[in-house]
Amino acid sequence: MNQTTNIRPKDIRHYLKDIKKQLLLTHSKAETASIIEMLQTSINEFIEDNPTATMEDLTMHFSDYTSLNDIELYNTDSKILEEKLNHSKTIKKIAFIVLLLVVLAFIIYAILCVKTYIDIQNSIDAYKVIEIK
Amino acid sequence: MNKNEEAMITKLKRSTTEVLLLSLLSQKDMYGYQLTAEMKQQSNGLCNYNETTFYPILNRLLNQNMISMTRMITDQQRVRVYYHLEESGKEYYEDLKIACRLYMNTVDKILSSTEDNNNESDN
Repeated sequence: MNQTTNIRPKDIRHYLKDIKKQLLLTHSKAETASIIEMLQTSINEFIEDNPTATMEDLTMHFSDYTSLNDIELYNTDSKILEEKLNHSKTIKKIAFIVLLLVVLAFIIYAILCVKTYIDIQNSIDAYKVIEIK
Repeated sequence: MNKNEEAMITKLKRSTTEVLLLSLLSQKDMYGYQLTAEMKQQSNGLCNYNETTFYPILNRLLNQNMISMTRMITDQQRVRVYYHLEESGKEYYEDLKIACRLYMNTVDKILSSTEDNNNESDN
């Protein structure tokens, strides 16, 4: 890669990260990794061909991540989308149940703490009669 | 081109990206940037795609063994990844082409008959 390029590697990483996020909505992790690798190669080709290109030029040529979804959602099998949506629903359900259990555990813990405190308070003698001989 | 026309072209582009990519690869092996440039040139700028949109489709075709990928070193010592249409891809492309033509001819027929009817009613 030409080192005199106007595009910083950090910007490319950031751009690829955005694309990756969008791809993961409609693709598996393995597929996403493979697509990102292809894209990375092509970005290198682009920079070699256009050493003076800026990040804006690169984004204009390769697209911003939002327009990627337009084509991808259209070309994705509806069954895959359904599976993804169901998967997402399942994750939400599990997260809700875990949250509910945490709240319940906290309430039980709080009740036990209060109960223990009351028991301790009750066990302490309010006053003691001392018989003086 | 007005906004409505542009929106319609975008919808049509979405559904024809795959067959257009296969068509380009049936002409010769190409690398990513070349695919975008050829697509733009052969369509007189109408099919102007961003390169990123090709890769999910190319990846899917690769996984289905419709196309293959070869790394080549150019005269300027640059690594280029060329995509090649395999035999199974050619068969798949022929099927898509038949279906595409059948559908587009039918759409054209319906649109033409509507125009004819409108012209007759005007007269």
